[in-house]
Amino acid sequence: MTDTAANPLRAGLRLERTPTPSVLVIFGASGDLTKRKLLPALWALCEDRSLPPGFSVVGIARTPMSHEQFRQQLRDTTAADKTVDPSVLDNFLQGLYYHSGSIDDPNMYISLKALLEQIDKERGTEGNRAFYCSTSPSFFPKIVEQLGRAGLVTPNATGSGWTRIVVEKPFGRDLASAKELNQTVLKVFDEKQVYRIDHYLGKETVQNLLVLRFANTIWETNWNRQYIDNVQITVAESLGVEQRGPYYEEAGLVRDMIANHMLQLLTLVAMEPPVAFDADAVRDEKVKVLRAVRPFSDGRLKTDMVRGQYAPGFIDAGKVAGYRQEAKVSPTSNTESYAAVKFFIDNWRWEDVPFFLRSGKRLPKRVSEIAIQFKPVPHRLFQDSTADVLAIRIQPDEGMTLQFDAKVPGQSMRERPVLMDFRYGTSFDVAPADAYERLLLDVLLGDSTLFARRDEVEAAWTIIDPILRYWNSTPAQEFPNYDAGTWGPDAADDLLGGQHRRWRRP
Amino acid sequence: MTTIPLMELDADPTGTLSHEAIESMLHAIWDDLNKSNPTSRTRVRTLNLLIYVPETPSDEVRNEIARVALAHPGRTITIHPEAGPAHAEVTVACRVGGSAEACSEQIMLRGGDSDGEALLSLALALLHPGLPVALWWYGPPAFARRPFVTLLDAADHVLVDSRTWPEPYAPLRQLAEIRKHYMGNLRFSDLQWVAITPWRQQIAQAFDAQMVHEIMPAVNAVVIRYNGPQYVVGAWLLAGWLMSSLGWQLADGPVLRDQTGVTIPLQAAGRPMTLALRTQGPGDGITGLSLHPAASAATSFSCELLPDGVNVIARMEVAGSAPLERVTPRLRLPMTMLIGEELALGNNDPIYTRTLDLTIALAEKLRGSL
Ligand SMILES: NC(=O)c1ccc[n+]([C@@H]2O[C@H](COP(=O)([O-])OP(=O)(O)OC[C@H]3O[C@@H](n4cnc5c(N)ncnc54)[C@H](OP(=O)(O)O)[C@@H]3O)[C@@H](O)[C@H]2O)c1
Repeated sequence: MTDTAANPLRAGLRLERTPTPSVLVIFGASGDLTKRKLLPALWALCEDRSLPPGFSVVGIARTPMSHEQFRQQLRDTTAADKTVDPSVLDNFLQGLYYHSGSIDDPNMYISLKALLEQIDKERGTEGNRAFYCSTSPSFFPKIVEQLGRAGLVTPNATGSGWTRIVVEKPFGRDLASAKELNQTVLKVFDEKQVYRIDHYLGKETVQNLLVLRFANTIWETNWNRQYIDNVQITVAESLGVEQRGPYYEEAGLVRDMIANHMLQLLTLVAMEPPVAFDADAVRDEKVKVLRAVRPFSDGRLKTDMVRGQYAPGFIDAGKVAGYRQEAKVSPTSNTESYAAVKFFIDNWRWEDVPFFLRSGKRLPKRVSEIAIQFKPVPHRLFQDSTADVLAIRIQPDEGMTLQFDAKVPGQSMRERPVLMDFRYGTSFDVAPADAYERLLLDVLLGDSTLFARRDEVEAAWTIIDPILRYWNSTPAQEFPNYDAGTWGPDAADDLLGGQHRRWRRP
Repeated sequence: MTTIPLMELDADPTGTLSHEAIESMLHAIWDDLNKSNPTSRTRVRTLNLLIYVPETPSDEVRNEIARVALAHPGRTITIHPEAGPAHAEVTVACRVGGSAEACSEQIMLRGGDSDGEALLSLALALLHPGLPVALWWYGPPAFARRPFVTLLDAADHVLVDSRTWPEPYAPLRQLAEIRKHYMGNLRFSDLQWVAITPWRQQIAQAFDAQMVHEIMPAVNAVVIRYNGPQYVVGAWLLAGWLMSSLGWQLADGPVLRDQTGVTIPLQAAGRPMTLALRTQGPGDGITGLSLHPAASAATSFSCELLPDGVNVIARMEVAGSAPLERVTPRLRLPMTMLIGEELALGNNDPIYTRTLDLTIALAEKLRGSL
């Protein structure tokens, strides 16, 4: 990011965050993520005037394509949008280049280097480059090694431009592979140059969690084991595995959702206030939470988690197939499409407060929320009083609801829960930016606060590994065990323990 | 958008129109709304927005006010003084916001004689307790007189628009004095300053590039182009911003005038330079800016409104290579967004404050040369 000492005109500008002139190199430029997310996010940043002058993109994949054909991808995506200004789009597209070649081919990197040098000269990008790995994870190590070998990685602080690398999820498939990948990446890049993306952190409401907790005093006094009974984090999808059967068969729900997105949410709810809002201070606190997560003993592996797989059922009144009937999925598959896990965080603030995380495919609706369930009052004066709940809705319809008891008007003393609502869409008349917009901008700015650090990724896998090993060694006999369109297997209700606890209906 | 039918109330024969009666009408509207659809409507309270409109508001102005009120929900009180007894129109307007409709209260106060004094007492009594008060002054720039000064006492934030001033010198000076008097306890915003923000961004971003940055010490002439007399304050503000950010100062020496505009002597670290303000270009508002380095310098920078009158092209040229051009949307922000930008800021904009001091000095120099 440019500072105001270098450019005094930047001081106090409302659009303060614009990166220095730079190039984004995308490996996997003919793929789904590039087309659906990355190029549209870059275009949105351009329309927002958040990209620097001379900003350029180089797309790499094997499919033969001209620069013009690559540019056409974005033209197609924006074609239906009547608000697009053709002269702005044309000018942006002039900075898009396509470089056909294979990731395995060392010569490709030599010609890439020549192209980047040409762009530096013509568009004033001054050697600033971010490499985005948007390919299958098996290519990540090769890309990193070849970039290093071709001299395309400038160490930090050499004064000849910056180099950064963005690695898409999944970052490893267990602790051993994550460590190996970290070692490979860190042989070539410094940790400060590495951006491990988890697009959940780019969501406005997820960032608002930090503001909610650390910009207000009213919650902090109650945000602990004394007042909170349990925390429920739900990430539900109504979709099935769609076309991603082979990927899902390999991954399963725990790797796909819990190991990354949901543990990120857990850390944001549970972390201590960081000393500053900067990358290391925030991530230090998140890592502390992960280190404090109670490891799963053999006993807890049997009692504190539930897995599920969907049978045929109905979504929005339409009939849908079961998991084992999906395309390219084994008819005897043992892969979980649902999981609910009880976590504990062994520290001063959270000792013995259960954090229930559940996620699944083919649940009744797409919704992500965090529900902080407060304890009931210690002594009940009123017969019907219920415990308060703070529900933080991450998507869709982002916002917060506080549920508390109020007196029902009338002669008798009766109470009923009522809601106090905050909705993003209601209070702020602006649509939240797509998560990739925010994260791509952060990469170009060199702000890694919303990206996972090495120790964070490894700490997360340390928690998850025993679950994966246990489930792998004990195939599920009861699959499929929930109907598509329901809230998951019945056993998930037992996981909550205690009469007063129920899953919140999000 | 849902607008509930207006309810109206007239002053009684003694000329009194009670604020309590107006509150009761609002209660009645809310009761009806809640009965018809209790779950999907939210009464949002973020702001008291006081709008002073001395001229009979045209449909266009009314629509603009309604849009701003909806985007910043809370209670909007429009004061339109005119001959005749005081009269209130009350309604609730809702827009879809997430799954619910976000509703806000809109009160139009009219009549009460044309000096507006009678309506002010009513408006002040109707302010929602606890919520900040923004005053959007749609009126002429009579900033040293009532009713402006009366409303100032109730406001936390005042929004004026120098694009509506028939003459810029006196209002600028009056505002400066008022700002001094309130010593930072009151926020002032000029919507013209917000309107030129895209230009400032464009120029600032260009200066991130090393090659453009390097021409700075060699610049000896700056040209700012604008069209339309109501945008002259915008051109001054842009000049004032460059001067305050880059340490340029007004120099002694005459202001030169010709048909295309004025040229003002400046100095930067003892080096003489000139600032030219020219009225030309397509469209209206600011239409371009260029920095001219000494003839020996190898780089130049300019930023022009394209003939479409909508987008801006920035050109950076370095000797020996092809010029780099960047087209960006100028984003002519509609009034709703200009006000939204300002309301979103919590405090006085220190860069505006700093710029305004130099803008006033520049205006004084120009006036002295008339
Ligand atoms: N898609 C999503 O919504 C999504 C969401 C979150 C995370 N991700 C992650 O993002 C990454 C990309 O996902 P995707 O869905 O875009 O995958 P995809 O559609 O399968 O695209 C893979 C890309 O890799 C290129 N590629 C494959 N082999 C190559 C080689 N030897 N040399 C050069 N390029 C090669 C392919 O192009 P050619 O065949 O033309 O070479 C293609 O452009 C994955 O890690 C995925 O887990 C994706």
